Amino acid sequence: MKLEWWKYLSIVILLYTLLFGMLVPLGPGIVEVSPSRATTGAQRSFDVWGYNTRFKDFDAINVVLKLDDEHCLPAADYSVESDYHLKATFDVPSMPEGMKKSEFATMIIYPAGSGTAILPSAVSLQDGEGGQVSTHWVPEDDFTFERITGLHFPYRNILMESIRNTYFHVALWFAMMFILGASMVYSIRYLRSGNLDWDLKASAYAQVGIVIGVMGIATGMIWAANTWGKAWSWDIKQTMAAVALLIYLAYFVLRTSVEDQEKRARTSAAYNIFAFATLIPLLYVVPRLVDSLHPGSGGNPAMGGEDLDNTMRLVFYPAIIGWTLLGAWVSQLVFRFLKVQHYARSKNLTEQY
Amino acid sequence: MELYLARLRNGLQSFYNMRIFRALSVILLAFTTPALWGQTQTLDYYRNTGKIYVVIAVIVVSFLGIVLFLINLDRRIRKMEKDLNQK
Repeated sequence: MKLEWWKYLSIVILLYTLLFGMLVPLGPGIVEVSPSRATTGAQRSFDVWGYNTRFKDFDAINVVLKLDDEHCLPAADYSVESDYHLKATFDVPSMPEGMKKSEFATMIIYPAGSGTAILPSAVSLQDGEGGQVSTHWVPEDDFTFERITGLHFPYRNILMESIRNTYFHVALWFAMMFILGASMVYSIRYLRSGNLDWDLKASAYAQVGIVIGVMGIATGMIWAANTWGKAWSWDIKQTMAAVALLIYLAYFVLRTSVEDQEKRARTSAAYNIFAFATLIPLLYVVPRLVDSLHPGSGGNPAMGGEDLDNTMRLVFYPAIIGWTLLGAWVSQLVFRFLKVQHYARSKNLTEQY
Repeated sequence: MELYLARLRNGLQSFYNMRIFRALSVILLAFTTPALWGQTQTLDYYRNTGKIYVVIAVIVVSFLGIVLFLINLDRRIRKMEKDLNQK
Protein backbone atom coordinates (compact mmCIF):
# COMPACT_ATOMS: atom_id res chain seq x y z
CA MET A 1 0.00 0.00 0.00
CA LYS A 2 1.19 3.46 -0.84
CA LEU A 3 1.89 5.95 1.88
CA GLU A 4 -0.92 8.51 1.98
CA TRP A 5 -0.98 9.78 5.56
CA TRP A 6 1.64 12.48 5.09
CA LYS A 7 -0.69 14.33 2.71
CA TYR A 8 -3.32 14.75 5.39
CA LEU A 9 -0.61 15.42 7.95
CA SER A 10 0.34 18.53 5.96
CA ILE A 11 -3.19 19.91 6.37
CA VAL A 12 -3.21 19.11 10.09
CA ILE A 13 0.18 20.79 10.58
CA LEU A 14 -0.82 23.88 8.58
CA LEU A 15 -4.07 24.20 10.56
CA TYR A 16 -2.03 23.98 13.76
CA THR A 17 0.32 26.66 12.43
CA LEU A 18 -2.56 28.93 11.51
CA LEU A 19 -4.33 28.55 14.87
CA PHE A 20 -1.25 28.65 17.11
CA GLY A 21 0.42 31.34 15.02
CA MET A 22 -2.58 33.64 15.05
CA LEU A 23 -4.01 33.04 18.53
CA VAL A 24 -0.93 33.32 20.76
CA PRO A 25 -0.71 36.99 21.79
CA LEU A 26 2.37 39.17 21.63
CA GLY A 27 4.33 40.07 24.72
CA PRO A 28 4.23 43.65 25.96
CA GLY A 29 6.01 46.37 24.02
CA ILE A 30 6.49 50.12 23.80
CA VAL A 31 5.12 51.86 20.72
CA GLU A 32 6.32 55.37 21.42
CA VAL A 33 8.08 57.50 24.03
CA SER A 34 7.57 61.26 23.85
CA PRO A 35 9.48 63.47 23.88
CA SER A 36 12.08 61.38 22.08
CA ARG A 37 14.98 63.71 22.97
CA ALA A 38 16.06 65.35 26.21
CA THR A 39 19.03 67.11 27.75
CA THR A 40 20.68 65.82 30.92
CA GLY A 41 21.12 67.51 34.26
CA ALA A 42 17.48 68.17 35.05
CA GLN A 43 14.19 66.47 35.78
CA ARG A 44 12.58 65.12 32.62
CA SER A 45 9.21 63.46 32.19
CA PHE A 46 8.15 61.19 29.37
CA ASP A 47 4.86 59.87 28.06
CA VAL A 48 5.13 56.15 27.32
CA TRP A 49 2.64 54.37 25.06
CA GLY A 50 2.54 50.60 25.38
CA TYR A 51 1.24 47.73 23.29
CA ASN A 52 -0.32 44.67 24.97
CA THR A 53 0.63 46.22 28.29
CA ARG A 54 -1.35 46.06 31.55
CA PHE A 55 0.14 48.89 33.59
CA LYS A 56 -2.87 49.04 35.92
CA ASP A 57 -2.33 45.47 37.12
CA PHE A 58 0.89 46.21 38.97
CA ASP A 59 1.55 48.09 42.18
CA ALA A 60 5.21 48.71 41.50
CA ILE A 61 6.68 49.09 38.03
CA ASN A 62 10.37 49.51 37.22
CA VAL A 63 10.82 52.16 34.54
CA VAL A 64 14.47 52.30 33.53
CA LEU A 65 16.52 54.25 30.99
CA LYS A 66 19.55 52.26 29.87
CA LEU A 67 22.67 53.55 28.11
CA ASP A 68 24.66 50.34 28.41
CA ASP A 69 25.09 47.44 30.86
CA GLU A 70 26.94 49.64 33.36
CA HIS A 71 24.78 52.76 33.10
CA CYS A 72 21.08 52.56 33.89
CA LEU A 73 18.73 55.03 35.53
CA PRO A 74 15.52 54.15 37.41
CA ALA A 75 12.61 56.57 37.21
CA ALA A 76 12.21 58.94 40.15
CA ASP A 77 8.47 58.71 39.86
CA TYR A 78 5.78 57.42 37.55
CA SER A 79 2.01 57.59 37.20
CA VAL A 80 -0.22 55.12 35.38
CA GLU A 81 -2.76 56.86 33.14
CA SER A 82 -4.22 53.73 31.62
CA ASP A 83 -3.18 50.17 30.76
CA TYR A 84 -1.42 51.54 27.69
CA HIS A 85 -0.24 54.92 28.90
CA LEU A 86 2.30 55.75 31.59
CA LYS A 87 4.04 58.98 32.58
CA ALA A 88 7.55 58.58 33.99
CA THR A 89 9.82 61.22 35.52
CA PHE A 90 13.60 60.88 35.62
CA ASP A 91 16.25 62.95 37.34
CA VAL A 92 18.75 62.63 34.53
CA PRO A 93 22.39 63.05 35.63
CA SER A 94 25.13 64.18 33.23
CA MET A 95 26.37 61.66 30.72
CA PRO A 96 28.81 59.22 32.37
CA GLU A 97 32.52 59.85 31.80
CA GLY A 98 34.08 58.26 28.76
CA MET A 99 30.81 58.38 26.84
CA LYS A 100 29.79 60.53 23.92
CA LYS A 101 28.00 63.80 24.63
CA SER A 102 24.87 62.49 22.98
CA GLU A 103 23.67 58.91 23.15
CA PHE A 104 20.48 56.91 22.58
CA ALA A 105 18.93 55.36 25.68
CA THR A 106 16.78 52.24 25.77
CA MET A 107 13.53 52.34 27.72
CA ILE A 108 12.81 49.26 29.85
CA ILE A 109 9.56 48.68 31.75
CA TYR A 110 9.12 45.69 34.05
CA PRO A 111 6.56 44.37 34.74
CA ALA A 112 4.56 45.76 31.85
CA GLY A 113 2.20 42.86 31.23
CA SER A 114 3.40 39.32 30.53
CA GLY A 115 7.01 40.30 30.90
CA THR A 116 9.17 43.27 30.04
CA ALA A 117 8.51 46.01 27.52
CA ILE A 118 11.63 47.33 25.79
CA LEU A 119 12.12 50.09 23.22
CA PRO A 120 15.68 50.43 21.91
CA SER A 121 16.83 53.97 21.07
CA ALA A 122 13.74 55.34 22.79
CA VAL A 123 15.24 58.64 23.92
CA SER A 124 18.15 60.65 22.53
CA LEU A 125 20.01 62.06 25.54
CA GLN A 126 22.22 65.12 25.10
CA ASP A 127 24.60 66.54 27.68
CA GLY A 128 23.13 69.80 28.92
CA GLU A 129 23.89 72.40 31.55
CA GLY A 130 23.34 70.75 34.82
CA GLY A 131 24.45 69.19 37.98
CA GLN A 132 21.20 70.04 39.71
CA VAL A 133 20.28 66.41 40.18
CA SER A 134 21.82 64.10 42.73
CA THR A 135 21.14 60.75 41.03
CA HIS A 136 23.79 58.44 39.54
CA TRP A 137 23.93 55.90 36.76
CA VAL A 138 23.78 52.38 38.20
CA PRO A 139 24.71 49.02 36.63
CA GLU A 140 21.95 46.93 35.05
CA ASP A 141 22.60 44.10 37.55
CA ASP A 142 20.68 46.17 40.11
CA PHE A 143 17.46 45.25 38.32
CA THR A 144 16.03 41.89 37.40
CA PHE A 145 13.90 41.58 34.29
CA GLU A 146 11.99 38.64 32.98
CA ARG A 147 11.76 39.12 29.22
CA ILE A 148 8.55 37.20 28.57
CA THR A 149 6.38 35.17 30.92
CA GLY A 150 3.91 32.61 29.65
CA LEU A 151 3.05 31.76 26.07
CA HIS A 152 3.74 34.89 24.03
CA PHE A 153 5.54 35.85 20.85
CA PRO A 154 8.12 38.61 21.31
CA TYR A 155 7.04 42.16 20.56
CA ARG A 156 9.45 43.69 18.08
CA ASN A 157 9.54 47.35 17.28
CA ILE A 158 8.34 48.11 13.69
CA LEU A 159 7.41 44.44 13.14
CA MET A 160 4.67 44.34 15.79
CA GLU A 161 2.06 41.65 14.99
CA SER A 162 3.60 41.06 11.58
CA ILE A 163 6.28 38.95 13.31
CA ARG A 164 3.73 36.16 12.70
CA ASN A 165 4.63 36.33 9.01
CA THR A 166 7.63 34.19 9.99
CA TYR A 167 5.27 31.18 9.83
CA PHE A 168 4.10 32.04 6.33
CA HIS A 169 6.59 34.12 4.35
CA VAL A 170 9.77 32.62 5.82
CA ALA A 171 8.40 29.07 6.03
CA LEU A 172 7.37 29.30 2.36
CA TRP A 173 10.95 30.09 1.32
CA PHE A 174 12.26 27.14 3.35
CA ALA A 175 9.65 24.88 1.76
CA MET A 176 10.68 26.15 -1.67
CA MET A 177 14.28 25.18 -0.97
CA PHE A 178 13.23 21.63 -0.06
CA ILE A 179 10.91 21.28 -3.06
CA LEU A 180 13.50 22.61 -5.52
CA GLY A 181 16.13 20.45 -3.82
CA ALA A 182 13.92 17.41 -4.41
CA SER A 183 13.56 18.50 -8.03
CA MET A 184 17.34 18.56 -8.40
CA VAL A 185 17.67 15.12 -6.81
CA TYR A 186 15.16 13.73 -9.34
CA SER A 187 17.15 15.35 -12.17
CA ILE A 188 20.30 13.59 -10.93
CA ARG A 189 18.38 10.33 -10.71
CA TYR A 190 17.23 10.78 -14.29
CA LEU A 191 20.75 11.37 -15.51
CA ARG A 192 21.94 8.21 -13.70
CA SER A 193 19.11 5.93 -14.81
CA GLY A 194 17.66 7.40 -17.99
CA ASN A 195 14.16 6.62 -16.71
CA LEU A 196 11.83 9.34 -18.02
CA ASP A 197 9.66 9.17 -14.87
CA TRP A 198 12.38 10.93 -12.90
CA ASP A 199 12.49 13.72 -15.46
CA LEU A 200 8.72 14.27 -15.20
CA LYS A 201 9.03 14.29 -11.41
CA ALA A 202 11.80 16.89 -11.56
CA SER A 203 9.61 19.05 -13.79
CA ALA A 204 6.58 18.71 -11.48
CA TYR A 205 8.56 19.62 -8.36
CA ALA A 206 10.20 22.58 -10.13
CA GLN A 207 6.77 23.90 -11.17
CA VAL A 208 5.50 23.84 -7.60
CA GLY A 209 8.79 25.25 -6.32
CA ILE A 210 8.44 28.24 -8.66
CA VAL A 211 4.86 28.86 -7.55
CA ILE A 212 5.99 28.82 -3.91
CA GLY A 213 8.82 31.19 -4.82
CA VAL A 214 6.41 33.65 -6.46
CA MET A 215 4.22 33.43 -3.35
CA GLY A 216 7.34 34.11 -1.26
CA ILE A 217 8.16 37.25 -3.25
CA ALA A 218 4.53 38.48 -3.20
CA THR A 219 4.17 37.97 0.57
CA GLY A 220 7.60 39.54 1.06
CA MET A 221 6.47 42.63 -0.87
CA ILE A 222 3.39 43.03 1.33
CA TRP A 223 5.54 42.69 4.45
CA ALA A 224 8.14 45.13 3.07
CA ALA A 225 5.48 47.72 2.21
CA ASN A 226 4.48 47.83 5.86
CA THR A 227 7.89 47.63 7.51
CA TRP A 228 10.45 49.03 5.06
CA GLY A 229 8.00 51.59 3.64
CA LYS A 230 8.20 50.36 0.04
CA ALA A 231 7.02 47.14 -1.53
CA TRP A 232 10.02 46.91 -3.83
CA SER A 233 13.16 48.79 -2.87
CA TRP A 234 15.70 46.90 -5.02
CA ASP A 235 17.07 45.43 -1.84
CA ILE A 236 19.81 42.88 -2.57
CA LYS A 237 17.71 40.03 -1.12
CA GLN A 238 14.66 40.98 -3.19
CA THR A 239 16.69 41.41 -6.35
CA MET A 240 18.58 38.13 -5.94
CA ALA A 241 15.33 36.27 -5.23
CA ALA A 242 13.87 37.67 -8.45
CA VAL A 243 17.01 36.65 -10.36
CA ALA A 244 16.80 33.13 -8.90
CA LEU A 245 13.17 32.82 -10.02
CA LEU A 246 14.05 34.05 -13.53
CA ILE A 247 16.77 31.39 -13.75
CA TYR A 248 14.15 28.78 -12.90
CA LEU A 249 11.67 30.25 -15.40
CA ALA A 250 14.33 29.70 -18.06
CA TYR A 251 14.18 26.00 -17.10
CA PHE A 252 10.60 25.83 -18.40
CA VAL A 253 11.44 27.86 -21.48
CA LEU A 254 14.15 25.28 -22.15
CA ARG A 255 11.70 22.39 -21.68
CA THR A 256 9.18 23.77 -24.15
CA SER A 257 11.80 24.68 -26.75
CA VAL A 258 13.35 21.21 -27.20
CA GLU A 259 11.26 18.84 -29.34
CA ASP A 260 13.03 15.52 -28.81
CA GLN A 261 12.01 13.82 -25.56
CA GLU A 262 15.34 12.29 -24.61
CA LYS A 263 17.21 15.44 -25.49
CA ARG A 264 14.77 17.61 -23.58
CA ALA A 265 15.03 15.43 -20.51
CA ARG A 266 18.83 15.39 -20.58
CA THR A 267 19.43 19.11 -21.19
CA SER A 268 16.77 20.23 -18.71
CA ALA A 269 18.10 17.85 -16.05
CA ALA A 270 21.57 19.31 -16.44
CA TYR A 271 20.15 22.84 -16.36
CA ASN A 272 18.09 22.04 -13.24
CA ILE A 273 21.21 21.01 -11.33
CA PHE A 274 22.89 24.24 -12.43
CA ALA A 275 19.82 26.28 -11.41
CA PHE A 276 19.76 24.81 -7.91
CA ALA A 277 23.49 25.34 -7.58
CA THR A 278 23.03 29.07 -8.30
CA LEU A 279 20.00 29.32 -6.00
CA ILE A 280 22.04 28.80 -2.82
CA PRO A 281 24.56 31.62 -3.38
CA LEU A 282 21.88 33.95 -4.75
CA LEU A 283 19.61 33.58 -1.73
CA TYR A 284 21.99 32.83 1.11
CA VAL A 285 25.51 34.02 0.26
CA VAL A 286 25.34 37.20 -1.83
CA PRO A 287 22.78 39.02 0.40
CA ARG A 288 25.01 38.38 3.42
CA LEU A 289 27.99 40.07 1.83
CA VAL A 290 26.39 43.48 1.38
CA ASP A 291 24.12 45.74 3.37
CA SER A 292 20.47 44.86 3.19
CA LEU A 293 17.22 45.65 4.94
CA HIS A 294 16.40 41.96 5.11
CA PRO A 295 17.32 40.02 8.27
CA GLY A 296 20.21 37.65 7.71
CA SER A 297 22.24 40.18 5.75
CA GLY A 298 25.19 42.46 6.32
CA GLY A 299 26.42 40.20 9.09
CA ASN A 300 23.32 40.07 11.31
CA PRO A 301 21.83 36.64 11.86
CA ALA A 302 18.35 35.94 10.52
CA MET A 303 17.42 33.07 12.77
CA GLY A 304 18.13 33.78 16.35
CA GLY A 305 17.91 36.21 19.20
CA GLU A 306 14.69 38.10 19.52
CA ASP A 307 13.52 37.44 15.96
CA LEU A 308 12.92 33.77 16.66
CA ASP A 309 12.52 32.71 20.27
CA ASN A 310 11.57 29.28 21.57
CA THR A 311 7.82 29.94 21.48
CA MET A 312 8.10 30.93 17.82
CA ARG A 313 10.13 27.80 17.08
CA LEU A 314 7.11 25.77 18.28
CA VAL A 315 5.22 27.14 15.27
CA PHE A 316 8.00 27.93 12.80
CA TYR A 317 9.52 24.45 12.43
CA PRO A 318 6.13 22.70 12.00
CA ALA A 319 5.20 25.43 9.49
CA ILE A 320 8.23 24.53 7.34
CA ILE A 321 7.29 20.82 7.47
CA GLY A 322 3.64 21.61 6.71
CA TRP A 323 4.34 23.80 3.67
CA THR A 324 6.93 21.31 2.38
CA LEU A 325 4.52 18.37 2.68
CA LEU A 326 1.72 20.34 1.01
CA GLY A 327 4.12 21.32 -1.79
CA ALA A 328 5.15 17.67 -2.20
CA TRP A 329 1.49 16.62 -2.32
CA VAL A 330 0.66 19.10 -5.08
CA SER A 331 3.88 18.13 -6.89
CA GLN A 332 2.77 14.48 -6.82
CA LEU A 333 -0.56 15.49 -8.40
CA VAL A 334 1.29 17.38 -11.15
CA PHE A 335 3.62 14.41 -11.69
CA ARG A 336 0.70 12.00 -12.04
CA PHE A 337 -0.91 14.34 -14.54
CA LEU A 338 2.33 14.67 -16.52
CA LYS A 339 2.73 10.89 -16.55
CA VAL A 340 -0.76 10.26 -17.91
CA GLN A 341 -0.23 13.03 -20.44
CA HIS A 342 3.10 11.49 -21.46
CA TYR A 343 1.50 8.06 -21.87
CA ALA A 344 -1.39 9.47 -23.94
CA ARG A 345 1.00 11.31 -26.21
CA SER A 346 3.31 8.34 -26.67
CA LYS A 347 0.30 6.18 -27.70
CA ASN A 348 -0.83 8.98 -30.02
CA LEU A 349 -4.06 9.34 -28.05
CA THR A 350 -3.69 13.13 -27.92
CA GLU A 351 -2.00 15.66 -30.13
CA GLN A 352 1.78 15.83 -30.02
CA TYR A 353 3.58 18.93 -28.87
CA MET B 1 -14.23 46.00 -33.48
CA GLU B 2 -14.87 49.60 -32.43
CA LEU B 3 -18.33 48.69 -31.23
CA TYR B 4 -16.82 45.90 -29.17
CA LEU B 5 -14.26 48.27 -27.60
CA ALA B 6 -16.97 50.84 -26.81
CA ARG B 7 -19.03 48.13 -25.13
CA LEU B 8 -16.04 46.98 -23.16
CA ARG B 9 -15.35 50.55 -22.03
CA ASN B 10 -18.97 51.01 -21.03
CA GLY B 11 -18.92 47.76 -19.12
CA LEU B 12 -15.76 48.71 -17.24
CA GLN B 13 -17.18 52.16 -16.50
CA SER B 14 -20.40 50.80 -15.04
CA PHE B 15 -18.39 48.22 -13.09
CA TYR B 16 -16.24 50.98 -11.65
CA ASN B 17 -19.31 53.05 -10.81
CA MET B 18 -20.53 50.32 -8.52
CA ARG B 19 -20.02 51.46 -4.98
CA ILE B 20 -18.81 48.11 -3.75
CA PHE B 21 -15.95 48.07 -6.23
CA ARG B 22 -14.85 51.55 -5.29
CA ALA B 23 -15.04 50.77 -1.58
CA LEU B 24 -13.10 47.56 -2.16
CA SER B 25 -10.33 49.28 -4.08
CA VAL B 26 -9.99 51.88 -1.35
CA ILE B 27 -9.76 49.19 1.32
CA LEU B 28 -7.25 47.20 -0.71
CA LEU B 29 -5.08 50.25 -1.25
CA ALA B 30 -5.28 51.14 2.40
CA PHE B 31 -4.29 47.71 3.61
CA THR B 32 -1.44 47.21 1.22
CA THR B 33 0.24 50.62 1.50
CA PRO B 34 -0.69 52.55 4.66
CA ALA B 35 2.47 54.57 3.98
CA LEU B 36 0.38 56.45 1.41
CA TRP B 37 -1.56 58.01 4.28
CA GLY B 38 -0.24 60.90 6.30
CA GLN B 39 2.50 60.12 8.80
CA THR B 40 0.36 60.60 11.93
CA GLN B 41 -2.55 58.67 10.49
CA THR B 42 -0.23 55.77 9.67
CA LEU B 43 1.16 55.76 13.20
CA ASP B 44 -2.32 55.73 14.72
CA TYR B 45 -3.39 52.92 12.43
CA TYR B 46 -0.39 50.81 13.38
CA ARG B 47 -0.79 51.63 17.07
CA ASN B 48 -4.38 50.41 17.06
CA THR B 49 -4.07 47.33 14.87
CA GLY B 50 -0.45 46.35 15.50
CA LYS B 51 -0.03 45.58 11.76
CA ILE B 52 -2.17 42.45 12.07
CA TYR B 53 -3.65 43.10 8.62
CA VAL B 54 -0.22 42.54 7.09
CA VAL B 55 -0.40 38.97 8.40
CA ILE B 56 -3.95 38.52 7.07
CA ALA B 57 -2.88 39.78 3.63
CA VAL B 58 0.13 37.42 3.62
CA ILE B 59 -2.05 34.42 4.53
CA VAL B 60 -4.61 35.34 1.84
CA VAL B 61 -1.87 35.62 -0.79
CA SER B 62 -0.34 32.25 0.20
CA PHE B 63 -3.77 30.61 0.00
CA LEU B 64 -4.57 32.26 -3.33
CA GLY B 65 -1.23 31.10 -4.74
CA ILE B 66 -2.07 27.46 -4.07
CA VAL B 67 -5.65 27.84 -5.29
CA LEU B 68 -4.62 29.52 -8.54
CA PHE B 69 -2.08 26.76 -9.20
CA LEU B 70 -4.73 24.09 -8.58
CA ILE B 71 -7.17 25.89 -10.93
CA ASN B 72 -4.45 25.93 -13.58
CA LEU B 73 -3.74 22.22 -13.05
CA ASP B 74 -7.48 21.52 -13.29
CA ARG B 75 -7.59 23.34 -16.63
CA ARG B 76 -4.64 21.37 -17.99
CA ILE B 77 -6.27 18.08 -16.97
CA ARG B 78 -9.61 19.07 -18.53
CA LYS B 79 -7.87 19.97 -21.79
CA MET B 80 -6.19 16.57 -21.86
CA GLU B 81 -9.49 14.80 -21.13
CA LYS B 82 -11.11 16.67 -24.02
CA ASP B 83 -8.26 15.61 -26.32
CA LEU B 84 -8.61 11.98 -25.25
CA ASN B 85 -12.35 11.96 -25.85
CA GLN B 86 -12.02 13.39 -29.34
CA LYS B 87 -9.62 10.70 -30.54
